[in-house]
This record gives sequence, C-alpha cells and structure tokens, in this order.
Amino acid sequence: MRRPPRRFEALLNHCLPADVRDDVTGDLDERYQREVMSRGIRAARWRYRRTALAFSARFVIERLRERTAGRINPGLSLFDLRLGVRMLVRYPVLTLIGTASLAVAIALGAAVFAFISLLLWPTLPLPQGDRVVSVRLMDVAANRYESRLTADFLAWRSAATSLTDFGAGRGFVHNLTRGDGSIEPVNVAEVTASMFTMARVTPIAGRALLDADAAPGAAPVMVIGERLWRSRFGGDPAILRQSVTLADTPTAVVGIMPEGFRFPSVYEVWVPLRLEATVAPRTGPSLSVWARMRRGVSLPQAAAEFEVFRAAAAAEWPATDAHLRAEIEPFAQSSSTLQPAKRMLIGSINVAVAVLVFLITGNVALLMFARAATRESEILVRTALGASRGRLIRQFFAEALVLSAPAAVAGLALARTGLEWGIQAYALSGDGRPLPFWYTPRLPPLSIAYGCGLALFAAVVTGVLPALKVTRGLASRLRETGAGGGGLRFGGVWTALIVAQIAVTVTFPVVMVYVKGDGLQKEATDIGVPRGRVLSAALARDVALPPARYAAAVRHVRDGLAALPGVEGAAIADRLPLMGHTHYLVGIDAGGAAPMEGEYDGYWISSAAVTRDFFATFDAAPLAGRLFTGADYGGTPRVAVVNQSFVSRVLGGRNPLGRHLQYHYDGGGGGQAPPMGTRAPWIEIVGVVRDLGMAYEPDPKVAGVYLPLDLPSIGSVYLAARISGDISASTQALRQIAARTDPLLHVASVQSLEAMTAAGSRVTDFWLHVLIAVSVSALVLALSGIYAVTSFAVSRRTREIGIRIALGSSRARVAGTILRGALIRMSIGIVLGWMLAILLGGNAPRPPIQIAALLGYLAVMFVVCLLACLVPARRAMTVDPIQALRAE
Amino acid sequence: MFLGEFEQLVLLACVHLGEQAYGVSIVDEIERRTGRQPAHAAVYVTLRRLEQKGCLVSWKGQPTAERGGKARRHVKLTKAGTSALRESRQAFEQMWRGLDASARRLR
Repeated sequence: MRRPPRRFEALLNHCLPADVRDDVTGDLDERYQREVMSRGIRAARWRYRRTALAFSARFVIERLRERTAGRINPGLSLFDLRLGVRMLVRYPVLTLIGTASLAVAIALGAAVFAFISLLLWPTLPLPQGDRVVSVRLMDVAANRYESRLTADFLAWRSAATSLTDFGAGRGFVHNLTRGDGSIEPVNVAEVTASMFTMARVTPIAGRALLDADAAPGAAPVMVIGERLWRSRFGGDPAILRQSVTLADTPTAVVGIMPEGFRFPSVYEVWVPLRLEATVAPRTGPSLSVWARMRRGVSLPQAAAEFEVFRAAAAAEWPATDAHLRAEIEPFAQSSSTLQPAKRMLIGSINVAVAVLVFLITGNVALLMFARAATRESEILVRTALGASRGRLIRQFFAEALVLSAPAAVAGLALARTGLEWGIQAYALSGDGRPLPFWYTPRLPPLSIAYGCGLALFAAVVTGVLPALKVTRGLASRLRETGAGGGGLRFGGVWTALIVAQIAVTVTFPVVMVYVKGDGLQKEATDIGVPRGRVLSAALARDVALPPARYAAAVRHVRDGLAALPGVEGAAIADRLPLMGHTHYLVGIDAGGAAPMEGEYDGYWISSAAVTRDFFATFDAAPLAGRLFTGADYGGTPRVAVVNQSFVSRVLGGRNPLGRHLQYHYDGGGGGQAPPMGTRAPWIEIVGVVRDLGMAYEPDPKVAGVYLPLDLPSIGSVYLAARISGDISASTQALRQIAARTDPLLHVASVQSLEAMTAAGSRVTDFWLHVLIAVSVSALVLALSGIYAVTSFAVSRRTREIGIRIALGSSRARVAGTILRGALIRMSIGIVLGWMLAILLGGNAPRPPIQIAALLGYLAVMFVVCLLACLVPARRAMTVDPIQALRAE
Repeated sequence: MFLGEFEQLVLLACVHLGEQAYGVSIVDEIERRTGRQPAHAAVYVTLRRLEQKGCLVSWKGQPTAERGGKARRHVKLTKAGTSALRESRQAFEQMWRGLDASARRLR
C-alpha cells in the first residue's frame, strides 16, 4: 500500500465538507492505488495532486456559492466588482501605476516579513517541525552552554515523558574522496540512528542509519544527501553498493536522503554516533541533543519536567551539576545567536517597511481620489437618485479591491523572488558558510496571509479614504453646485503625502549612492597586483589531522604550487587582502603617536599573520626597515611589519622603526594571542610596507599590522598565489596537489581574489536592487501624485483662470500661480529628503565626485518634478475665458 | 424537474451501473461511454446536488484497505430521479421532433 502525497491529502481534508470528505478521499485513495499499479508511482502522484487541487478549489467555490448565494458579502455585490473592472479598463494609466506600485509595496512587505520571520522565528521544514526541540544545559556560573551531555542524554532518553524520539549528534568537516582521486570537503554529522525516526523523513533510496551501525565492530556506513549524490556521484543508484573514502576511512553508502534535508543544520553526510553505554556527567564529546514534544505537551510543561531532572542531578552531583539549568527551545530558534537587542532592531524593520507601504498606498489613494473627483457629477447624480453614502463607499471599496487583488498576486510572486535574493545575499554575507537548511525561499503561509492583509489594507486606504472625502457633505453640495462644478479640495494630508513621497524618492537613491559608493571604493582598493591574477584557497584541518601534519601538508601544497610554471609566488596567511579583517585595539610605546580617536585607550588596527613569502607574492617591497626573516618565526611574535596607514594614522607620520606596539585584546599571530583581558608582550616594528587592501568597510585606509604566522597553532589558513599563466590550469593543479598531499586536508573556496570580492559585491547589489525598485516606484508615484494634484487644481480653478485672463492677467502669470503650490511642495520634499539622507548615510566625509553627483541628481529630480506640472500648467495657459465662463 | 446535461450523464451512469454505482465507477462509466473525461470534482459536486434534490439516495458499503480504511458511498436513483430523467428525455425528444428531414447536417 502506497500512501498518496500527504500535503494534498491534508489539503483535501481541509477543503472538503465533512459530509463528502471520507467518500471523496476514499475514492481518490482507491484510484491512486490502481494507478500506482497501472501507470507507476510518479504518474499516480502527479494525477493525485492535480485531482486534489481541482477538488479543493471546486468545493471551496461550491461552499462560497452556497453561503453567499451570489453575493460576496451582504454589503458587496458582484455588480460592484464588475463596475470596478470597468473602471480599471477606462483609466489604464492609473491602473498600471496603481497596480505596479501596490505590487511593489505588497512584495516588499511580504518579503521583508518572511525574511524577518525566518531570522527571528525559524521553524524546521520537517513534518510538525515546530514540535522538534533542542535540549541544552546552561552553565549559569560561566554564562555559557555545557556541551558534554552524553550522560544527560542517556538519562533523559529513558526517563522523559514529555519528550520522545531523543537524538544526539555533532558535526565535522571531512574530505570525501571520489574514485578519480578528487577530494571535496563535506559537512558530516555523527548522529544517533533515532534522528531519522525523529525527523519523519524517509530516504529516497536505501535505508536510514540503524542502532546496529553504531555497535562496536560494525562496518563503517554513511547516509548521503540527494544533492551530494547527484553532484558527486552523478545520481548513480549503484553508489548504494559501493564504498567511498570519508576522511581516511572507506565507508559504505547505505542510503540517500531527499533534497533539502540537512538536519541538524547544514549536513549532507550522516554517520553513526558511537556513545559509551555508561559515562560520568561532564565527560565525553560535545553533543547537541534534540527531541520531539509528545502530542498535547507544551513547551512550559516539558521545561517543568526537565527542571525536576535538573534538581535531582544537582542533588546527586553537586560539584558538576549544581550550576546547570536546562533550556528547552524550538530547535531552529535555538540555533539563532541573535541578541535580544538585535532581534528588536530586526523586528522593527517590519515597522519601517509598513510605514513605507502605507506611504505608497497613501499615494495610490491620492490618485484614486483624483479619479473620484472627476466623477463628482456621477456621484451627485447617484445621490440625487437615492444612493446612500454607505452604498457609494462600498462601490469605491470594490473598485479598490479589484485594483489591489492582481497587485497582491503579482506582489506575492515578486516577494518569493525577493526572498530568494535575500537569502542568497544573506548566505554570501556569511563568509561562504552554508546556511542552515531551514532557510528556504518558500513564502510561509503567515507571510502570504500578511501580503493578503496588506492588499486588503491597501484596498481600504485607496478605496475608503478617498470615498469618505469625496462623499462628505453630499447633500449641501447637491444644493450648491450645478453639474460640472464642485467644492472638492485636496486637504493637508494629501499635500503631506506628496511631500513625504518626494522626500523618499530623494532619500533612497542618495543612500544607494552611499552604499554603492563604499562598494566602489572597496573595488578600487589597489593591492598592487591584479586581483584576477591572485588565486586563493582555504586550507582547513580535519579534526583527525594532528597540527604538525597539518602544517607540513599546507607547506607542501604551497611549495608544490609555487614550483609550477606560471606561478610567480605563493604564500600563506590567516587573512588575505580584501577579506574582512578583525579589528584589534593596540597601545603604542612612549615615543609619541597620533591623538587617540574616541574614548578608547589605544588605536584600532587590523591584523594578519603571514608567512615570509607573503609580501613577495603581493609584490610589496619594504618602504622602510626590513620584512620577516626565518628567525622571526616560532614562538610568540616579537616583531611586526606595519603598513603606511599605520604610520600615518597611529604614529602621526613618525618613524616607526624600532617602536613597539602591544595588543590589548586577543589578537594577531595566528593563535599565540594572550587570554582575553590580559595584555600581550610588546612587539617591535621592524618594517613598513604599502597598504595591501586590509579593507574594512567603509574605510579602506586601515592601519594594519602583519605578524609572523605560526602555522601549527591554527586550524584554518588561506593560500594565495600570484599567477602569470592560465589561472584555471593552476586551479586544477592546486586541487590535484592538495588531493595527493593529505586526505585529511580540507581545500575549499578555490577562486581568484576577484571572484571572492565579486561575492561580496553581490550583497551590495542585492540592496541596490531593492533600493532601485523602491525608488523607481516612489518616483513614479510622486510624479503621478504631483501631476494629479496640479491637474486637479487646474480643473477646479478653470472659472477663476477664465476670469483672471478676461480681466487682463497674463497667461504666464496664471501658470505661475498654478505652479507655485507644486513648486513649494517639491522644494520641501527635496530638502527633507536630503536631510534624511544625511541622517541615514552618516557623517563620513564623501569624495567630491559623490557630492557633485548627488547635487546633480537633486537638480534632475527638481526638473523631473517640474515636468510633471508642465502639462497641467500648459492647459491652464490655454484656457479660453469665454469658454470657461460659458461652461459655468 | 428539468435536469442539466451533466446531471443527466451522471444519473444515466448510475442506471447503467446499478448496485455498483459510486464515485470512481461513475467517472469511469461516463468516460467509457462518452469518450469524455469528466472532471472528478464536478461528478462529486453533482452527486451531492442530485441527492439534495431527492434524485438519488446513498448508503455506505464496507471499508477496504485499498481505500485507506474508508467505505464506499454507493448511490441509486429514487423515483423522483427516474421521473426527472424521463422528463428530461421527453423534453429533448420534443425538441428534436420534426427536425429529422431538415437537420441532416446536425447528425
């Protein structure tokens, strides 16, 4: 018996009325089983999905039809909606601008909401993933998590009643060696077999891990992920009968997990976790522990049970357990390292976006109001024929609903793309580390509901608000005005909206120039050699690789690469130029220095630990003093080479040679740093080199200190090689050398420095795209707003203009009167926007070219806004006084 | 009571199937006899509507494993259903009568 697709089963159960639910699902089950036999599982599943969707839609419509009997709700008739569609067709420009703007607003709102939810309240994409929890022990004395949980895990697994399916595991990076000898580091999780039952995800081929696989003497086995299976093994099902080398152990592949499953976070290979049957508390390896809450159990109930366990453990082992507190949290949320203050800040972005959405919808409302104003005669006639104010407002709401519904559909589609972008950009900003598997670009149901809510809100703002204004005092207007005239005026709120819109239009591009400008500066940072000719690679140590062997392997790879033809030099460093370097605080000896910045007791510098050949690789000769020699390596660093910016910024241009600096906090030297809070020994400056791109945004002129690298003391370094020949051939050669050198040496991120920095600029580009979308949308809206208001003013004042011209006023003066209001609004908007941009962009000094570009942009903005007024102003100038007066 | 075309198809399928008439078999019967593949959902909505109109009665059969432990709902024509079907047929026949000579091209 095969089970039909579960989600579609659930959809049917949700959508079908109770009286036919069992009949229909039973019939579909029966048909599904037959089709599995006759057509195969794929075709059967596909057909089941299609039929389930059709059934759900059909019965939802049927239910609506029964409930409303032809009416959407007692207040809104289908006729109103039809009228709304007709209005959309009649005013195509407004329809286009309104729908596009609302779509951008809804997309922005829904995507930001989804992204923030993903950051703040992630849930596991597993069946009932919100019931999976992590169980951790907080050491309240040391304010850190206690991870040696083997004894606790074994005890909880047998004693807990609120949680079930306990599992434990830990993660590594190991090399996976293919048949052709090529090596790739992969994320490996050592887990208990129970993880697979807890996750409720079955392998797509083969089997999951079993308890027997962890038994002493059992043959090494592993389960791999579908992506790895396809990318590394070409999707060959025969891999299940083969053995591949993981780290340095031949391991049989026994199962393949479906795409997207990477529990507990980023893993693509799962191997059995071997635990001792009995261990003392606070011994054994570092572990993560997870479980599922039993049905009907809440988080506080589970926490209460664990409090009891903790009390018992504290009484039994007071020395090790008295200061430990159990913490039970939803699994995905427990991985978040965001501080509460930062969470608040991220959450508040929602509010900022909501304000922006309100602004955009407000402006669409302005356009709708202008449209409504042109229909004043129609409204007055309908009132005279007996239409109530409520009836008119409902009609306006229906028209707005028809406008916002397609905007919601387009907006949600756009939001999904935006979310995908956002996640990619977020992944890139994480220094190449993969994101946990719950960061999927799927819009969660709550975000879709939020997007629909925004569309409804937009319909209320763009429909009801203009309707309220246009239908105010209808009875008196009916008495006072004839056809064609009217007492409607734009109020202060609409004027404020236009001003705010122009301000936003100015602000966003200015901030954009600041952001991109910083990116451009980074790109412009000169490192002395073409960045496309520098090959970089990360070389990391497997846990099983002893430090001395690791150091030897790294040196072997470097020497092997340097010996190749076309390679002009190769070096090793803990950070390469153009990477983000960590900031450290240093003190300077009493020989005189530049004034300190801010309230710090020292100078902020960036630091890198490098091998001797580093400077030659980047073609940097000493500007003063000397570079490192063999005698400088080994033991605590005693000498340093500084860059030019260090000399100017820290020493105020004084001679650096023979001077001494001292790290105040942890830093430098590749691991020889002093413990936190203590001060390192004094280090002598022996040489000066030019700035080598220790870029730390937004300031490229960073004071930098280079220290001798102590290779065995750190677990991850970068290799850099200057290539004069074919860089792709060198890339291949590097991989081959590394594969031959040591199976436990991890090689990753093999790329040119140019490609590495391009990844960084993709993050900037993401924000650039967002800002462009928002700015263009705001600009179009602001322009149409200005146009609508000016045009409206001209049509309202036609009689006045006619009288003025009849009395001898010049046409240019009349146009000036019309333009004055618009000009004032534009000026206020532009000045406000400029001030806001300065506030957001910070007060860092800007290069003159940026300032000139911004001033030019403001001038262009002013001219563009002016153009929007020109058409109505021209109409005012061509008013024929006789016609104008006769019409009244 | 006048029946729509699809309602007639569903009722006629029930007559053909007799005691074996239920959702899946009705869909198959219509498909087999007319060559048209009816939308499954439309058949169920129509069955429900015909039962509400009193043209059909339904009862539950035995649950089977193949159906995930759920029972079939069999249907059968009522007297009202039979007479509605007859009336509809007569109405159609009345409309066709007299067109035989002039409407050869309709064949």
